[in-house]
Amino acid sequence: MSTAVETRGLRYAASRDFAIEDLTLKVPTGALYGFLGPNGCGKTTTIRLLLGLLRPDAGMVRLLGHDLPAGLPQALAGTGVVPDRPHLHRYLTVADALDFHGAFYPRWDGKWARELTGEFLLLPDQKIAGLSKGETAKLMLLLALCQMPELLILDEPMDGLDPVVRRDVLTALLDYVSQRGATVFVSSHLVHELERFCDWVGVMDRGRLVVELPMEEFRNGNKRIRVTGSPAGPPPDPPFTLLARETGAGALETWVVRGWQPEMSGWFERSGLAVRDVADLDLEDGFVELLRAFRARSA
Amino acid sequence: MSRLGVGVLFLALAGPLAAQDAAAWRDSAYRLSAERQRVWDSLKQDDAEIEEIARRSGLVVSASSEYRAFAEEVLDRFDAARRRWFGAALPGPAGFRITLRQGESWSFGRQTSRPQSLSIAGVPDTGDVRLAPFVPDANLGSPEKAAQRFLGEYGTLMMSSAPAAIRRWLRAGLLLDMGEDSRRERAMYSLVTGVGKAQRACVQGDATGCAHALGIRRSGDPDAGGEYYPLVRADMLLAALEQGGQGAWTRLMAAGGAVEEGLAAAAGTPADSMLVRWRDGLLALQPDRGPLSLSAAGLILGWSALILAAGLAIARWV
Amino acid sequence: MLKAMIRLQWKGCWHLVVALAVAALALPIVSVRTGWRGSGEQLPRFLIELQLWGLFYPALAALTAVILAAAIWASDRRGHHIYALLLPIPRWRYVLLRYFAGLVLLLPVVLALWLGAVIATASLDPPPGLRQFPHALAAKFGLALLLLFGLAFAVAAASRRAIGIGMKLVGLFIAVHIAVILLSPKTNLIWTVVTALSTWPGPFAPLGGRWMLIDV
Repeated sequence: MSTAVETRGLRYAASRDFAIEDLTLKVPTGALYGFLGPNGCGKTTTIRLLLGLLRPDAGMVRLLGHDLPAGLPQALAGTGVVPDRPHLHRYLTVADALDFHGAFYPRWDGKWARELTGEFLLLPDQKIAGLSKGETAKLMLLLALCQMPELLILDEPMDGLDPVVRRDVLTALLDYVSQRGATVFVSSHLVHELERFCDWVGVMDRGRLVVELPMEEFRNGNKRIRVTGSPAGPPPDPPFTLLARETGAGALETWVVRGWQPEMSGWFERSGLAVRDVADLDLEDGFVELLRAFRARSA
Repeated sequence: MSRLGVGVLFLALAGPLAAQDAAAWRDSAYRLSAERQRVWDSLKQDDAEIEEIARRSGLVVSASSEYRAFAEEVLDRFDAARRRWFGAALPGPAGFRITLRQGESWSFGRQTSRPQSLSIAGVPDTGDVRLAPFVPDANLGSPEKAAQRFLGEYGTLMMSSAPAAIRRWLRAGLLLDMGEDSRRERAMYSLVTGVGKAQRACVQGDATGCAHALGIRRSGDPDAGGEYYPLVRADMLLAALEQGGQGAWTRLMAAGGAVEEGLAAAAGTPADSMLVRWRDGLLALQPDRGPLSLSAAGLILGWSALILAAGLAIARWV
Repeated sequence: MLKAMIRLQWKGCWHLVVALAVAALALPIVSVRTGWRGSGEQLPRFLIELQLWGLFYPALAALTAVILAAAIWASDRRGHHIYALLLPIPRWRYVLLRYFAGLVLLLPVVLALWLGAVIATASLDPPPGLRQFPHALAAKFGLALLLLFGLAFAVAAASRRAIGIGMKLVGLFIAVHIAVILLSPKTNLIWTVVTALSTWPGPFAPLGGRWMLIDV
């Protein structure tokens, strides 16, 4: 499997109290990779490390096959970026920004840029300083898309946007991806946002990568199981990951597991346990339980 | 007596000076000096103790004792400059005394780091007040400025005993209180930009033209044009003194009323060669051609390249 | 890319360039008009005054350099250079683009000064012995501006870390200077450094000398 983005053992001490620790992630080429995590977990810091905006203390970053920092200009030539905060020159007009940006990218599609400007309802003569939050977000995406990149890195692109703008942004993004087969790496703290279009997910918490797997597995593999007849100690060698275990009324226990497959029922029987009920966990609940289990292990 | 009163008195007494000939001029000067002495004595009472600080080769400097170093440096500078122009000559047999008093108008109040008054006397200073100018508003900001002011006053004293013909020719005095560089620069400007026929001839190397333009030799040519103004004459006279070295001033005084002969005697060379030497000295002060030289341009380009390289190195934002 | 950068910088700085160009155009004209006296005893005084006016040329060059360098980098600094760092060119190339586009911004100011000098001298009829230097003066101004702009540009482009190191070095130098003065009152390190910088072959040596539009 080829990767568009790869890190190995990445380490970065952002402050005395927070550090990115041993981050190893792989974003397959062509994937729509959702980078999930609560606020303050290090998503933006990780993205900055991927883009060469921060220098790691240790580890490797490879972007579109180019090792950083030596191959950064070549990597950025094929990467469209929408950072978490606007980074444009505010005294320029929309048209000026397109002209300036386009000068640096050989594959820049000026015609599509003008079309997209109209679709996004942006006025070419409008100063960037006068754009609303939604208009700025659309402009930043426009600049990233019209570069015709192979990789798009978006840091919380929907944050603070109204549903109409969100729809516009998402539509444009998905249209581009479906036509060009580009890889998308998008971060968010809103699970339901990524669930709709991502096919891979990486979950981050407290500077570490908790899990990285296909979205289907993440969505379907999380179950809430009601069990009776549990043994006193931890169950021996379960074929799934036990995220949480809560005692209920009587001998009833509720287990939250990840990686569940139906044929795993046999393990319960062999262990002398009885499965009363298996319920799907929605993505948000699964995410919360995952983080809880991770934090419990870390503590 | 207030300083305003001193100033008014000074101006009132100075009035008659302008209209008198030499003898009357001397009488007025004596009366003026006497008045000055009375004023000085009254003002002296306002000062901290004035005492003799140092003596050097016939000169005595007096000031408040806490300004010893300042006073000594002023004396040394003044003595060196005085010898350069006048050798060992004095304004008169009775010696001289010049007193400078720090002015208020040129700064935000008096500078307490500098002496309020400073006096230099040439012994034998018999206390005869005939030759004792008192300068109420002097710049005592630094030993250099004070010495320059003393020199200016001393030059005025010396000229007061010069022959009338030389005083008339010079008109504005020796201007020794003007900085030498400033005086020479202005003289050079006048020399080079003179438009009269004699002045142009002088610039081009004709000593006769210089003599006519300086007014030391009559020209029979009605088209000779204007003469150089007093500052240029003062510069030429000082150049002659410097060229003549030891005894130059005495030789100038001894020539009596003949200006050209006096200047040549002072310089110790024939007048024409003195004039050519003076002219060449001023022309040498002309600046290099234009504001910009090739080497300066090259230096700027070199440094600009270095600074750009340094800028690239320090613009590391990651 | 250079054209795009020039357009970008012009958009951000044109009002400053125009104001500075007007000042540059006026300076030689005003310096001559206020003092011109055709001949005689007034000429030396005029030339002395012109020497004083000459101080305004390097001052204007310094002001132009600082204002334009700061304006050029203002937007990048505000955005922590993120836009520049995300462009697909090495950082040093971006800085060079900014620099050369900045030089283009300086041209109108230099040309305005040259024009002002030509106008000022064209209206005069100086006596023999005086020479006019409108082109040399404008060239000297342009080169001074080049040097000072480079300095201001480097400081404006410097990273926070570099500025921090620079400030610490200055602080250390001042501390050493004070210590030296306490030990040896006649030694003045600051004066030594200033002298070294402003005498040949220091960088500021060519900025001294005569800035005379008309001279002997």
